[in-house]
Amino acid sequence: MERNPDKFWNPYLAGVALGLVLLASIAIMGVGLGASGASLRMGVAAVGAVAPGFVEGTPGLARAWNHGRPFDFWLSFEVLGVLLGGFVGAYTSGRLKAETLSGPNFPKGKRLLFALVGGVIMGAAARVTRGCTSGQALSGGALMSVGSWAFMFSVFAGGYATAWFVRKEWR
Amino acid sequence: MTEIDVARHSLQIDPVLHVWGWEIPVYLFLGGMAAGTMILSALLSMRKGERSPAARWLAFAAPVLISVGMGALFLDLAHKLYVWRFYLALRWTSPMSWGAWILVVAYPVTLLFGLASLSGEQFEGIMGKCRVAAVGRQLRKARAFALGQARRLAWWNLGTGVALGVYTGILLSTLGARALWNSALLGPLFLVSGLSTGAAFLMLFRVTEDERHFLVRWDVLAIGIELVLILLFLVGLTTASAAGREAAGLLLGGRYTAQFWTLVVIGGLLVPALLETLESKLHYRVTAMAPLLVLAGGFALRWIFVAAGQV
Amino acid sequence: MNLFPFWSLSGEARELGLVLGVLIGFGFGFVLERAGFGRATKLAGQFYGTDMTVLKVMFGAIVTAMLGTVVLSGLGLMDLRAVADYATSSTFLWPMIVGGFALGVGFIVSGYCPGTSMVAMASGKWDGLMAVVGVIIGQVGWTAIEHLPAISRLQNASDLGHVYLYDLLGLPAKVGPAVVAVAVAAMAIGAFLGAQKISDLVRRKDALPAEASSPSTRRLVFAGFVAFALVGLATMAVPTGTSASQKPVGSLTPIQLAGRVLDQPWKVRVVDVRPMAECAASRVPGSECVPLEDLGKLGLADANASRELILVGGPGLAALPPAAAAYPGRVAMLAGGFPAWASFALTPPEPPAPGAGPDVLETYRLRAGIAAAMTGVKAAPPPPVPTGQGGGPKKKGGGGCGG
Repeated sequence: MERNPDKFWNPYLAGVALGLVLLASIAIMGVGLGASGASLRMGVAAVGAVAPGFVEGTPGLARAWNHGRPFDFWLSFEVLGVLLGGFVGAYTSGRLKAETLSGPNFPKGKRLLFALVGGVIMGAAARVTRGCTSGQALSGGALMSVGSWAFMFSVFAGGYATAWFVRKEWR
Repeated sequence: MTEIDVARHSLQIDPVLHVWGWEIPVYLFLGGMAAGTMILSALLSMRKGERSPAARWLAFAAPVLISVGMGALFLDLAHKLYVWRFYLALRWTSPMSWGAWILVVAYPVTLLFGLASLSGEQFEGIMGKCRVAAVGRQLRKARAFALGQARRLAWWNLGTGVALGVYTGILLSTLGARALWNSALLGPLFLVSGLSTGAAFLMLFRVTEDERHFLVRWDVLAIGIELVLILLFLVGLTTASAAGREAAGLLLGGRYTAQFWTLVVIGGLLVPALLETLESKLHYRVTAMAPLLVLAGGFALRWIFVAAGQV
Repeated sequence: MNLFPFWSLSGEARELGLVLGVLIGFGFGFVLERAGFGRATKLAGQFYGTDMTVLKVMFGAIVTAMLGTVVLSGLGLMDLRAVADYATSSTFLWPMIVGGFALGVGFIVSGYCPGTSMVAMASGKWDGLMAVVGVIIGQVGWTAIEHLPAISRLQNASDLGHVYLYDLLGLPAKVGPAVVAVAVAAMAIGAFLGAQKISDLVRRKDALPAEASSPSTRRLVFAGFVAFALVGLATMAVPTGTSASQKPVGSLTPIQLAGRVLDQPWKVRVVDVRPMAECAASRVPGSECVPLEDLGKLGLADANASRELILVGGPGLAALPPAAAAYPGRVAMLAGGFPAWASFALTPPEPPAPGAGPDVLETYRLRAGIAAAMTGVKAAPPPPVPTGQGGGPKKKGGGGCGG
């Protein structure tokens, strides 16, 4: 059976579904969803495998290193679930394909470089803001934290402000 | 290596010997996977219809996997130079003795079965690469013999595969002092897990659609039985003794709970079973992720069992 | 009654909590993928006005979860503020604004946010993989330099603590969250309708077909939001109160109290429950003198909960009085009561023995400074550091202007 890869869920329903998952997380575990924290643990695990002394000597990294057990952390398990869920979702929707997405007339190599650079910016920014759009905006926003709402508006502002400069990448 | 022959396991009295490291889980995993490929290659040969070239030469996968596994085991031996002593005796009650002899049988059986499985063109292709005439002659004689005994070799392959699979589990379960391994279900559990990982391994290669369906059906069946055996295993441990309850507790709330249920059960059994069922019943695309998840889960199962058993 | 959340999942049943994390994450990843968030081209469309999915899904999710927590909290099944304190970080206003802007830049450049990049990677997208790698590099790289003083100062600036939208309104604790939830839901519905119009305009300009929308579904979802918002408002009438036994009560040492009262007095509300005569004679700066028997008259149960309530009592005050337990915000008690404060802040400290370590000297300077500020009595300056050890930094304190 070939599924139609261009068919997505109605965005309002998807929003409600996502909100219910978020609500379940808050109501059951007392924490919201997140992503960037797990990325830090992955990076620290990799760096710690080759240079444990450096990791243990740097305060922020040592806390994530957690005496050699960086993955002993709820977000790491949650992100593993995200990967599995994303995979099964893509598989069952017909969107599972090894490809590089970009706008028309934008070279793939440059797109991959932009993805990497953009990721680095986001990774650093997420430390300053104590979370990314999943953790800070969604979870903090739902719990009505002032900082989270300020963060969310700033993210949209940053995106819109820069959109013109990278328009070739997407349009 | 040092075998522990005591039946008690009291942390206050007995020293905690970290007997086994990474070598043993690798050995158990490869042994189980080899057992699975032996069984499934035999079953594939007994089916109606022609086997694909991949299914034919994959009959040689088992001896390769076993050899790599034995290499890992060899690294674990404390007195490496005395390895030949294993083959001077057969101790009835020692699983390691059994294991050594099963492996001795496995090599000729799988190699001959492999020779019989090759199609004419494949065999000629190998002959073309063979420079030494004497070796070539011996190979032809061996193949002629194997082809004559093809059916019998298939059954021997199947039987030895079952014995190998069960043996990898019994290796742990005869060490009664380790409470987590003190269950008769470990043999069948590792056999079924080996069958599943063997199927997953074969699926990674270029088999025909028909053969893939065959492998998927066996994998889903194996996963189903594996889930039941895990359940029975945990129930059995918790109702056996205080030590058993404590050991089972490691997987039911203790240190290894999250890793076990996440990596082995959810990631290694449930999700791949779901994917493979969707693949076969609803004709979704074939994906390599499902077999890879099974392999990762099978390795995690053995790693966690070996580590948790030595707590 | 607080049924939710199940705190044992973070405590004794932690391993089960980790397994549940995988299941919750599975739902998260699956929904994100089905919403189309695993595709950079769809996400980027938000910032060009052609695809409003990001706005609809994000706000929809926030409003849904918000209404859910407000209703649960209104019915007394969950302590909203306690959960929010645990689940969210402090509000660092300027870092979050500046960092948020930077994250937005990274978003449009990479095409993903950290969470969606993982979904993209799981869908086989190479650009998703590169974004994931980039996020990891950025996270590790920044964390490695975070502790440097210049960066740390900027990153921890404007720490307003845990402050929520309903604190800004100054409404009673029970009413605030429900009202804010209604306002946010209304704003979201307005945003959805506005976004739809913008998207139609932009797409018409680009000669693209309008975004697929099903008006009936939209109306259903909006109706649901309105219904739950009304339920949230209705729960304001349901009488609930945090029972004293369940409320976690903090305990403060005198030095912690001094830090709060002297550095950030707007964050705390200190109530002195000793008899009026004692309190009037000498009390913690900024504290209110409310004898124990009059505590109920303060109406703490309905007070604005954004400040931390600190009770200072006599040496005999052991448990938290029920009137204070009804306070919806954070509550703490000064360990040892006022006598502890007196011996810490009002008594000049003993001069340290010669050759004492630097932290002993530091504590002495701090206490001497506080005592001097409180009582106006100069304390003896600390003994000079022996020259062999290289002098410590000259610091004020121990004089009349310290503190």
